[in-house]
Amino acid sequence: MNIDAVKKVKASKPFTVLDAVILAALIAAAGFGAFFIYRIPPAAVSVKADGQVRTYPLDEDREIALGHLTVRIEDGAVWVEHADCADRTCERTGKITRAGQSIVCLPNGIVVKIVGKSDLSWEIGR
Amino acid sequence: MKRLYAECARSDGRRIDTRRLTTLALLTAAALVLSLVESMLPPLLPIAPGAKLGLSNIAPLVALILLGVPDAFIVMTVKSLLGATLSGGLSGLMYSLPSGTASLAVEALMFYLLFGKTSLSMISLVGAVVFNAVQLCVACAVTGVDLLPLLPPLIAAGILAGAFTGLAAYYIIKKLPYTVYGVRRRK
Repeated sequence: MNIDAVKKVKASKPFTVLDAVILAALIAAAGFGAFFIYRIPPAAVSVKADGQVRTYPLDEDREIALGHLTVRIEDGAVWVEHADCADRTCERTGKITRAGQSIVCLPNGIVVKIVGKSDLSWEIGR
Repeated sequence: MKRLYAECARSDGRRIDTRRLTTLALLTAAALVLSLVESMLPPLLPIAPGAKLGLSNIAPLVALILLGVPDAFIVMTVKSLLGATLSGGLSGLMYSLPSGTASLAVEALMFYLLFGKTSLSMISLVGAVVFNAVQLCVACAVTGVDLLPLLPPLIAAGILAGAFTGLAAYYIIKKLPYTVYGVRRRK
């Protein structure tokens, strides 16, 4: 029997200051990990124009001319150029890179959206 | 660290006396009963499958304090072996033995390096988190499926379960009178 250790445990407190520090560090690490684990990897660009949805791969550079505006996909980023509408909100949105981000052109009813891998089958299936 | 070496050397070269043997047997038996009782309880968290309270992990922790590092490993190993045999199917051993060893190693290190600054419940908490993480790694390796999304809920479950079992071990040792540990009362 290790009586010294028993005495030490009996004398100790149920919680200490360092506990809170370690616990906070653990929770922070888990939260930080969760942020990266649960982030959906961007996979494709879905473009809705004239009531039609088309999906393009994100990793291929291309230019999509839609009449009212041009969608450019380059280096995993998507942005809108040459918009002919008055407010040009879509152009000012700038580049989008992450899954779930979108560029909307209300006057022309055009929605450009980056979809994640898990969304893709659903988009194609429609 | 020096104390950890000294402790290992001391208890390793020690004769097996009756008190140590009976304490080992008692703790192992208690661990087995606890794991059997726990297997009858419904699952705790539906969001994290496989997350258990791990009541039987109280025994190796108590053994670590009462008997030292080598004996704690004995309790843990025998618990895993017999537990796997009793629950049927030795495949459970694949999960319980590596994670049990890793978590007990971390707990022993923390006990000899940090105890006093940290409490027993925190040592058990970190041990439970390590246990769950290693178990998930083994499951990943065995099934070949990317189980990483299960890690954050399992860490959360480990935090809750480890704190609970650590507090249980703490109050067991704290509330038991010294006579139980073989100290004669002085008159």
